[in-house]
Amino acid sequence: MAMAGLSFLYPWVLAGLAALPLLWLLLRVTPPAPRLIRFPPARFLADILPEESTPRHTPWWILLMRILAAALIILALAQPVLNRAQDLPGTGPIHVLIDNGWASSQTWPAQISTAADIIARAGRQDRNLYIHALASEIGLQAAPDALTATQARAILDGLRPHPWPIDCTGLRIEPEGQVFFLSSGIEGSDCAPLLRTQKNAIFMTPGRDRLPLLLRPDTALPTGGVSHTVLIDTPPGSMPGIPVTVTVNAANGRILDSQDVTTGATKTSVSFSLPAPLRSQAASIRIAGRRSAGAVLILDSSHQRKTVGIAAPPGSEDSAPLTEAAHYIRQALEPTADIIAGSVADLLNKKPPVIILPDIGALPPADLHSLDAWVKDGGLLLRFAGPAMTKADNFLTPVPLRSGSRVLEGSMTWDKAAGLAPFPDHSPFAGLSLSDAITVKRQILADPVEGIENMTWAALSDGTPLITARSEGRGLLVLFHTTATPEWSSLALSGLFVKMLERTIGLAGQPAETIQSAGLFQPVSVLDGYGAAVNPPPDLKPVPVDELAKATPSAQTPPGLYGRAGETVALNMGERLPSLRAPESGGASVINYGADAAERHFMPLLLTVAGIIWAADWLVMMALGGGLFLNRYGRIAGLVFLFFMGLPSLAAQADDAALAGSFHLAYVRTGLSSIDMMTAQGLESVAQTLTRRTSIEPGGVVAVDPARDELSFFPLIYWPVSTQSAPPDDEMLRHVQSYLDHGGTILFDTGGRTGADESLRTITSGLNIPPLIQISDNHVLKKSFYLLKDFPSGFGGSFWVEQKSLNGRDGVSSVMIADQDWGQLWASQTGGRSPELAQRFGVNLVMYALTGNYKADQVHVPYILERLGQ
Amino acid sequence: MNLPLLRRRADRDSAGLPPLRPAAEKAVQSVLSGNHSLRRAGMGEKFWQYRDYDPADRPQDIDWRASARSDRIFVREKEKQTPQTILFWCASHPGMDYAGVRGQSTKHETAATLSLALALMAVRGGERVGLLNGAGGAPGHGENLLQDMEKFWRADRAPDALPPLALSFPRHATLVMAGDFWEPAEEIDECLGAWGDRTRGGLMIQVLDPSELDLPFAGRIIFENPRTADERYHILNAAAVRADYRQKIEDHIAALRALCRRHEWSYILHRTDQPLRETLTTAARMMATDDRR
Repeated sequence: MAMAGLSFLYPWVLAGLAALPLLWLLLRVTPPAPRLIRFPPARFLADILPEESTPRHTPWWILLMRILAAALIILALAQPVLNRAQDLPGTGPIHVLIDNGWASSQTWPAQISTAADIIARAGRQDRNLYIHALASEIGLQAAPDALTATQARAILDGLRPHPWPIDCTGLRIEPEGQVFFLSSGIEGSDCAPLLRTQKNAIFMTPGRDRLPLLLRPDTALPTGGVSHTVLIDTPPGSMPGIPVTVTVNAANGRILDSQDVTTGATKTSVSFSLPAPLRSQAASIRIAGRRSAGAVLILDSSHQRKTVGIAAPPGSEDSAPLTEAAHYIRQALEPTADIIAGSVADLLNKKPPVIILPDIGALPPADLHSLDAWVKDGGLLLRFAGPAMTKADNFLTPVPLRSGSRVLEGSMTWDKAAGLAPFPDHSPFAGLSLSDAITVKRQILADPVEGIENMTWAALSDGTPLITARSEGRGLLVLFHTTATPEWSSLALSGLFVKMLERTIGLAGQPAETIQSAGLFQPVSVLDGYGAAVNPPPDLKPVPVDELAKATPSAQTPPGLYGRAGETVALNMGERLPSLRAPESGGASVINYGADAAERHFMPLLLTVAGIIWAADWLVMMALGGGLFLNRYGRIAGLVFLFFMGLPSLAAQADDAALAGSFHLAYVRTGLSSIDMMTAQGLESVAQTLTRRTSIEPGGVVAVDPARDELSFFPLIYWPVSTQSAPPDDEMLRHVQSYLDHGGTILFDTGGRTGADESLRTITSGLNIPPLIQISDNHVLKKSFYLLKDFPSGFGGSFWVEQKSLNGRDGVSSVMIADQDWGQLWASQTGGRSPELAQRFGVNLVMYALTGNYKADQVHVPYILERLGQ
Repeated sequence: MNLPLLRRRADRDSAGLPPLRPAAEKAVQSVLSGNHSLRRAGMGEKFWQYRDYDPADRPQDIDWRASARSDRIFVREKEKQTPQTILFWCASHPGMDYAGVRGQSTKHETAATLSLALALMAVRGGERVGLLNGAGGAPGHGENLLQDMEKFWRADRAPDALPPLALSFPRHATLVMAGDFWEPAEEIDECLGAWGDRTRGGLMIQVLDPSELDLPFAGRIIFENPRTADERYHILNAAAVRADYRQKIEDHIAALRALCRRHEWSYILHRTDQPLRETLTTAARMMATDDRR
């Protein structure tokens, strides 16, 4: 039984509609029961009785209501469904193969709802079900039991994505039946051959715009102060231009840096430039919003503070430190790296990621060979030129060197000492500022070989290379063509030298071969299928070092952080997985998730309407049968009914109670994830500051929608105005106006974004706001907690408050307008004075909103003092 | 189920009425009491008047002390006092158990309390009291009799709306009848007429519930006569018939008054929401005027 997409699951129930006329007759002749009253003088009512002896008919509209309610209940029991799914194809049992591997957490809802749909349809046809989860902890079950729809549903509810790839090896489809493969859009091993053996298999996959993303570390050499580079890997066939936000997180989840990018056709590179102190805090890089183990890169100890070895005999710096290169290098690197010193042979035993050779021209062949092997294994060898290197030995140098040195300024030359040329773009030093004071008097010249421009990281102003670098194996050779002492150049005395060394050291990776090649690594924390770090399960065994190095994520080695004393190694999906492949359907017909319109069930709606009609009928009967003279039971029934009607609003009130229970900082959701995230973070930071320094302890940060949410809980609302925010409608304006009229305070912040002024104007044009002026020097806001002298000038923006606060507002301006993007200022963690001042302003702002003119008398302090003086 | 409540109901049903005496005593206290002085010379204890000696008088009736003050000879006359017999009847048929508002006194309770209070007053006034049906024994003025009367009324469940016509009771007694008297006026007339020659008149106290007078109901109601369960009246909208009903009730009450006048009875209408005191005062006054007649 189907009409225009609407069909009934149990059409035979509709036969009950035939009984409706009978109901009509029954209802028609049965009047509503009258009340019986035992009344002594009843006799006197005898003659007043009208002559009508037949029972009165129920009013036709009551009849209609009841018939309608009955009809609705019958219709509801017949379970009408819009877009009813067709019967499942094929015959025999249904096999549902679910990809619950690492990629599936990004497509999980679609997979699960499709699976639930298939199970429901199979249940209607009474077909047996087999559910095969392709990424299992205990390996695939060769012959799972046949399930009913209910059992299958229970198993489906228990399925979770696992953080490892799927594997169809060993899976057998028995007994023969209809196969549904619910893919996440990434090919798993041995799955295509399996599908090829099945006839009429149906392969379901996410659409081109929904395919999962994988975050990989970028192995290319970073340049220009870049600290971390990652690649967003998209499977082939994925639609380019998907906007994603990549964040660098500290161990406690704090966002250190974030970048918005749109994906390209296959790989998209994202680079972060974190300052050194933050760099060591970075614990993971994530694709925000993609809850998946594949969207997380855990940073292990190789990304943290590096150990640098300086090849200098211990104690050599003690006698005459200012002439020793090791002294200058140590001074430069001390804040950012751990430094060990010793002979080359000693250093090679400890295998630090970086070894610095200051002015060492020749080495014993054994050391040279092991040094060469170490570099090729991933070490970073940083060499400084000097008198000892003028012999033109070209072993372990980025470029061939000429013998001798070029003297630019000396008694025998007319040349002036040369300055540095701007750094080329491919150089890691790009972006560092140069000083004229840096001059080079002497250097070792490189032999101009082909491609030397690309190997040059820094050159003198006349173009001769000063710093050259070359990859060697997996390692890197870097040569400063001058000394690390001020002997040949003033470079070693400049701040630039420090930054250059920092950036160079930052390029070092962990040599693949760790200090000890034997031993076990304990899992420290592992990722679950959704990319959240969890404690490792107790039955997870430690992993031998050599196995860990080549392990791919699996149930035995889930992605996560493995470690032992002082050293951690990350096992990341992105590092270990081969390049992504689009899944092969193996001849099966391919259907995208959500291609069919979803079934819509009308039973709840119909039952609700029938219930409402019944309630209305009840009220009408109460009104007719005794002027709402409710007896006790009627009252109870009414209360029960009203209670159930009131339940949803009770639920809403519970939420409100939490908001009203304590003070929350609120901001208006712009819908732009970058602004919202930043604002939430900023307010969170202000909340922390408030809790730490003042008696205000905010209960949290709440995002509100001014059009819908109840605003009255919030004394202060921060409203970042963005051009993308939806234009205000009347309802929202009324809401906001009412909030302002009843004592609320809103800080609008255009953030200096282009066009935001215009958006702000469209909002405020509909609001009744008193005239605003630029904040005066003695405004309370500048003294409500901290004395802010250089506000707002110190932040390079302007700040507007009400010229004269309305009565009853305690001097608090209802509207404030800023253009500094306070959300971001509050959120920024980078050192210096400005974040502190921003926090102070935040504290003042909240204090101002809460205490009003409490501190206003301080405004008059100068006058009071003056008067006292007289 | 609420056991104490059940117990109370059972007690109440078995005992009929709660103790009437306290309420009756309380009501009596507030009403003046006294002997039914006839205010004429006769056999009595109290001095009534002096009058000149008449030769027909007995010499021992001469009040020598008064006569000595003047030349005339006075005879001291005493007031005539005749103790009355007052017989009480109180309706107890099922219709009397009606109370329009839950928790208010039923008509039966009110009527019995009123009767007992009147009996108390009469005993204090020196009269003899008794029950019309002779249940408590011969009329008298003892405490035992009063207690028996109270006991009888509390337990009485007689289904009749009026006392039986063929009832033997002492002659020249005053009757006090309390009930709702919803019977047709003709029946009541017949009843009073049957006894008329044997009584010295009487007092009819019609005890009514306010809702019986006002019919405060609305909507569709079936009214059932509690005395005869098959007597039902289906009213579609009680509010609509209210005016007609009141008219008929007023007519009935007027008829009762008329027939009381005709039989030289007094009539009092008592609503159960009224204080007993007013009705008792009126009743006492009426019985006093009865005496003087």
